Amino acid sequence: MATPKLERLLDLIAELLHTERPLTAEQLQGRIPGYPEDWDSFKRSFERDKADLREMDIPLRIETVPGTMPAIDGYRIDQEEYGLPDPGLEPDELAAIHLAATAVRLDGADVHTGLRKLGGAIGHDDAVRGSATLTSAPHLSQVFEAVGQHRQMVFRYRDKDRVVDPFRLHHERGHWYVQGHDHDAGQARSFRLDRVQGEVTVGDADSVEVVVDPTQHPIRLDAWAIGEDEPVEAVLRVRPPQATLAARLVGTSAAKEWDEDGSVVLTLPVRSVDGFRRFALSFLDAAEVLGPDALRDDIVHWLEATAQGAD
Amino acid sequence: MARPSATDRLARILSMVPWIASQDSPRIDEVCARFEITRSELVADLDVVFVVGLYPYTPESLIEVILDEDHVSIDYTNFFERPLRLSKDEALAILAAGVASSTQPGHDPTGPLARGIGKVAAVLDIDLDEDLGVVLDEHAAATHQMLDQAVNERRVVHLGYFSHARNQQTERDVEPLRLFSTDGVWYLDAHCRATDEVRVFRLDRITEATPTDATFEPTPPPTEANAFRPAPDLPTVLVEIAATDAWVVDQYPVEVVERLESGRIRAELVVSARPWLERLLLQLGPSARVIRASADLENCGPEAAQRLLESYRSR
Repeated sequence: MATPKLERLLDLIAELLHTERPLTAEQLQGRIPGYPEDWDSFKRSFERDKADLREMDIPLRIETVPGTMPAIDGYRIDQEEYGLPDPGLEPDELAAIHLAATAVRLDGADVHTGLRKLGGAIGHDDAVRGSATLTSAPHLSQVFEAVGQHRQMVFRYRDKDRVVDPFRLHHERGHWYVQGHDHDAGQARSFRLDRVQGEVTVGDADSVEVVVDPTQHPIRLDAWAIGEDEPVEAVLRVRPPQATLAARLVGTSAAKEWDEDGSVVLTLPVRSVDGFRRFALSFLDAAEVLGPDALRDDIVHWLEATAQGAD
Repeated sequence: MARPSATDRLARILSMVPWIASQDSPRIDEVCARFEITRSELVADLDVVFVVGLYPYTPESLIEVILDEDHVSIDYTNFFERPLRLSKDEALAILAAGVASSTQPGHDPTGPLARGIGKVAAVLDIDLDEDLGVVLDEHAAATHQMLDQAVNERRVVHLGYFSHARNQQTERDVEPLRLFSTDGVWYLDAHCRATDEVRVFRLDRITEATPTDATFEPTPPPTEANAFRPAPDLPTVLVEIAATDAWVVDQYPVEVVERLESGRIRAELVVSARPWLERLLLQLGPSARVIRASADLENCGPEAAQRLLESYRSR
């Protein structure tokens, strides 16, 4: 029976929001209409209600009722903690958010509940049908909270336990990455969320120890751009049909010049010769390293050694 | 449609009541449009709200609801003044959509979207410039949208596709069946008209997708299982690689992996087509060794290296 339950939950939330002094389970049983008189049945019903509130992210507090000895647990909801501060959205701003949330969906996420909290769906969404869907990832919202609230994170990645002070959550090319200061490595690193092994443990708000300037650490996803090698501008020609795919793969991280025959000449800021070689060879016969000489020689030597068979 | 659960209605009421209360008798049709409900659903929700209040439920402690033909007003909601905070998931979904849309061409950095998500981020204490980045691939978004529409309209699509395994460009007409994503990569299940087979296409290898005028009758949907399992008659090779090349094991489906005392790794790999193995062996270079392979694949790495080398030497 949906209605009595709905009414009971609303009364319960109202009572818990209103009270400043934590209310005991027994007091709530007496005050909220609809709870069973039998204590055991009440307890079961109350446990289910608490679980429902938690599932809705309603911040239910359990506190010791002041002056009780032995201590008795009581319940309340802090109004500050509960309420969304009014962002003061103008109608056109809310409509623009509605449109954006319709056009770009996060896979599996429900934007309706969030939009309703901001004032509901206004403007037209018929014109746009999910024009882009961002993939989701494990631990995503937890990591987002850690970034926003400067919480230190501990997790396992590539078979090593990491302590990371996160500073950015980033989505690109189908994956979510968290960037942060890796305590063991002593520098900023990026971690792909779907490669995190097991759970993420998140510390208290403002528990990060190393504060990093994010503008000093632009995200780098390409193997050729991540490394300690002397920076060099590599020039790579890729013939069609792979030209289009290569241009798309490098995105905005490389300069592109198109030839009349449909080839593309990419200029890539290389920091890893290994990563660049691997990228160039992924196109097999369709790609040629044009320069600089050192990189062209590197590929030629590599191919010579490979042509001779295993060493 | 399934009947909404008590908590679904509760979530709606907790957002709707503060909004109505903050307005001066809004029109009922506006409330219904905003909260995406029918008039009868609204009336049913308000019937519940009407009896909510504080112990001991004296009339003055109850929420006051006034509903007439066209307007609704709510008063005495001192405990439901604000909607519930955005959950982490809700906040992320809204901000990610806003940030992603802001990277699109033509976005006005002082326009309503920028101002709106700026305000939402501010109350959540999120620094949008620093904390969150979302880069949308425009080509991928456009292809996705076009194919999504074609799936719904059962429209035949002309596909240009680059097969990575065969290192080959193909053109064909397909009947698009469904879009799905795995590990951050989007795929299209489609019935290929030329071969009469259901094939899986990676969206990022679609070089061109054009809707045609033709539509199709749906055939039975493909089973998940046959989408990824390599065909059983594909050859396998046993390759020994350096410990530093362990990425191979992460990246490709491997049948058996053995770690040798030297630290080197032996992995049995399924070869979908010769160019695929050539690519892998060229990337691994001289430190990789083919331990066991059929006669035609045994020498495929050195042969490919020789071929590329000749083209380098000829220029």
